[in-house]
Amino acid sequence: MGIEVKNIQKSFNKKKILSDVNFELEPGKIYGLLGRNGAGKSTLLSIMANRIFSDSGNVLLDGKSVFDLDEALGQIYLMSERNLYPEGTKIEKIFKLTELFYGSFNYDYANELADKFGLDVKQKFGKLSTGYRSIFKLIIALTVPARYIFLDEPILGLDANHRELFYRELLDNYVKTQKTFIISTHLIEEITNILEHVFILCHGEIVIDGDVEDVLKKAYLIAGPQKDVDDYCRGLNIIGKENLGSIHGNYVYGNLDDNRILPDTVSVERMDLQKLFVNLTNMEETKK
Amino acid sequence: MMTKKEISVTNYFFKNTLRKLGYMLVWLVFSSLFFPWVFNGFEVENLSVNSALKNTEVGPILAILISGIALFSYNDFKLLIQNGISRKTFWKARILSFLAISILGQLIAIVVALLNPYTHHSWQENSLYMQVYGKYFGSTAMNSFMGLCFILISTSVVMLGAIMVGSIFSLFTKKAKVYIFIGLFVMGVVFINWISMATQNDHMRNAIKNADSFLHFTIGYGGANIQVGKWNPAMPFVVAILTGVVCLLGSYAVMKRFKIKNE
Repeated sequence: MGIEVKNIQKSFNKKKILSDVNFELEPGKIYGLLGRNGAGKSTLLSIMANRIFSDSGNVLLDGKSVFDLDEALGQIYLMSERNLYPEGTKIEKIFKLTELFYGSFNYDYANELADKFGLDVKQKFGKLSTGYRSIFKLIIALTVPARYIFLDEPILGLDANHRELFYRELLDNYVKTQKTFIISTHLIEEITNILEHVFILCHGEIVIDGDVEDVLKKAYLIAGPQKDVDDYCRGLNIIGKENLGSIHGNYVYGNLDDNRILPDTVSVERMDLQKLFVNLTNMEETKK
Repeated sequence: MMTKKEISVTNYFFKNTLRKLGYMLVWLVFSSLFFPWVFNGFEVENLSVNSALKNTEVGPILAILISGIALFSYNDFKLLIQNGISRKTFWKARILSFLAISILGQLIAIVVALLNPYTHHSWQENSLYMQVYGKYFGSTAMNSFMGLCFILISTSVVMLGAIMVGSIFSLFTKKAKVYIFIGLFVMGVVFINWISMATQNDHMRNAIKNADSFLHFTIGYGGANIQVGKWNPAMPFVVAILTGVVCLLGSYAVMKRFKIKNE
């Protein structure tokens, strides 16, 4: 059960954007979909929500293909940068349309969120600023009765206060509804604590697919004099290097075996998700 | 049997199209009064609502307006795909709602014609079908019934054609559409030029003659010895129904390929 993404491939103008992407989303988890600009995150989410077509592969929801199936598509909501709502329609009217198409809508919750974010529901969608368009779409995303919510750059144009409020409301919503969220964003540091599972997409391929805790357990910064660090790291998966004065640091992704003797001059620290992401994607970039 | 979603989407299209149609009709009434007022030298005394109504062909106007609205599918598609509605439901609801509005529009036009004293309480007078095929059957009631059926079928086919053409254009970006319009315009000019030149060439004259014969066949032309009004309406019905089926299947095939464009 859940969503299965199987062998998705997509090219635009002969340029491969996604090559054989496979992963699964279990119900009731918050996922992060991370990748550099142009990595294919938005394309992947658009394919999963059946907005565009893949060249090959399939997306299954509870075993049924989401492609052109109301039953499955009604369980998915994709909030993206693209504005697909009619510009001349008032927000309160769009709430009604959402109810009409999704079958139900929590007006009280939507109005409560609109109050908290300071969104005027009598305003027309086209008159909203970039930030408020994001807020409006986030409100729909949190209130719509779909089980799988895809948030593509959800905090686009939001100031720090609104971002903070969004994270709080997202967690509150998650605890109450146990919906599945997949969040694609560039602001990794801000969402690390929210995510349970992470996918890192690089050059159209998933290079990391794991629970955040497990992934970070294997991410290290080995620091010290260069020779000692290099000796210690021999045979390990070094994904990046850094120099700060005489201190040299190697970023390593993978398990450190117990037989390895750690010199007194060398320290081992944990890497955060953002550092891991930057080093991994840089390494992949260099490989290409 | 329709699902709850299909009913919701059909209702949405129906109401939304009626709203647009109402807006267009307001403009229609305004322009029906505005132009006579302008051409009468801005004299209010010379302006007659009755004469404006007399000259207004409600049926064809509604058919054109509804077909005009049916041309534009992409914005509705954007809203519906955002709300988890499949292309199949989108297509089905669009066809059903526009068919209903098209038929309703023509029935209203007939009622208006029956109530309008300037049209002598008759819709048959202005019906091209009734003029050409209206005496084919021995019974007047049968002729009128077939005339009514033809109006409903033909306007529905025009509307289905508009949905199909509109959906084809929805596949292209704005930039591509501009190039296509330029291309079609150039092709049109070349075609007209070709036709005018072709009449001077024996071989081409034969081709045009054959096309003319085919056209006669499709409209049920019975020959010079058969009086206009008594032509056989079978072929126009067959042609209209076949065209409708092609447009229906064509629009489905095209809408299955709808996707959110990068523009």
